[in-house]
Amino acid sequence: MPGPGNDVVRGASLVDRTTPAHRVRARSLRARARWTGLAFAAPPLALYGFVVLWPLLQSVQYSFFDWDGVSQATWVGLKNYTGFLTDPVLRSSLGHVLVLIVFFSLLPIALGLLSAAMLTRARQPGMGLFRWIFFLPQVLTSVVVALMFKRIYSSEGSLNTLLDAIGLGGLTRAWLADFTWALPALGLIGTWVTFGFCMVLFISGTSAIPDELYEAARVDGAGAVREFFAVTLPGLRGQIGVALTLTITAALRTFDLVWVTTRGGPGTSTMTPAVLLYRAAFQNPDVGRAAAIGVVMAVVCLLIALAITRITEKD
Amino acid sequence: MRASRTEQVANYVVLVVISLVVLWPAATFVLAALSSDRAGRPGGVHWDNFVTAWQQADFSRAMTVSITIAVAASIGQVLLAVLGGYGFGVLGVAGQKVLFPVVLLGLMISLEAIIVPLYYQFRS
Repeated sequence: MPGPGNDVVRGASLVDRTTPAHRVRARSLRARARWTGLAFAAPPLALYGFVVLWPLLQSVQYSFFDWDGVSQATWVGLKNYTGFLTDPVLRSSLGHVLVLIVFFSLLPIALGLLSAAMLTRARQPGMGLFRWIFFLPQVLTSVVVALMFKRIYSSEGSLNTLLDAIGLGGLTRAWLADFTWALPALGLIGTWVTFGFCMVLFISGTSAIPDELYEAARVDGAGAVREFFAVTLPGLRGQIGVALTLTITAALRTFDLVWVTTRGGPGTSTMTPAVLLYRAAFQNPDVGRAAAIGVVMAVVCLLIALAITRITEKD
Repeated sequence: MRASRTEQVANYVVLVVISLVVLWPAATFVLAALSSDRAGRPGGVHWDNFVTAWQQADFSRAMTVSITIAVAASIGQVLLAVLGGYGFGVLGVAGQKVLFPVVLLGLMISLEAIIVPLYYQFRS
């Protein structure tokens, strides 16, 4: 590995050999600059090591122990990790994440593509206003959003009022207290929040697609739909990759929304790994398990990011 | 380009429907904030709700705490980022072939992976 030591040695050996003297001087000056650079970078690196790297290593260490946060920890090997396979609650939380990915990622991207295509294709008046409205949920704090929807989904909330008004009174229920409907109801909150973000991403991506492609498509007689699939969609490949990465990892990490609205209930029907982590870390401490969940989440997020970058950046 | 008349109308219909769905939750929340009713059913415009909330939640104190944290964090971040950025970007850092990827790793790691030890370390 080309460590700092090697460089100094190389610099020293160059003095004895045939290289012209001024180049040697430049070399050693640069080497000295690099040591000054290290001095500059040392404070941030030290803080970073203390707040990120060291805890990261400790997380891995914790995850091999059974510890309640107070008494003596005991080594349990991989037991905390096998919980992902054996513990029914933890396993079901992974299933919930898959459902949430549909609502947090696939639906917002579809809606974002639709609205971006509509807003950019035709220059109609009022498009700026729509763009502004669609992005509005993004600027709200997640706790506020969660509280808003908690009211809307409640048994006397405005969703049920609306259903009653249009003659679908039979469907009314306390949405977040329903074993079947709580998870999709939560998911739709995510769709509501995220699609504006996807739209903005796609609008900026569309503006980078050369106009000639659109003109060519129109000369060939393509309609709005054909044009979208032949020109816009392939042109947005990179943006879709970014949107997928960000929204899928967000779905995997869902915490505040669930915590404010259902706390994982009713039963465990909206439990997510992040909520389980919180419970195991802070409520009734099973610290090793919490650390294992955290490590697995981090690794999965990294893998998802790598995989999606790989797929979408290929030509 | 100019779209055909039918396409324009269709666009507007879809966009207005989506807008209503987006605005409706926010609108009900604003109406509830202005409501005279304790349950928050829409009705009336009562700005004094905001005064009550501000006082009862001790909002001034909460805002002071937030601002303190924000200012301290921003100053710290800028100072450290300038040092690190100048080191890595201009001077070069001895051992950067190892150190820089490590820094990048920290950007990609999610908070969940470090939150547990952070809590138990700072607690003691």
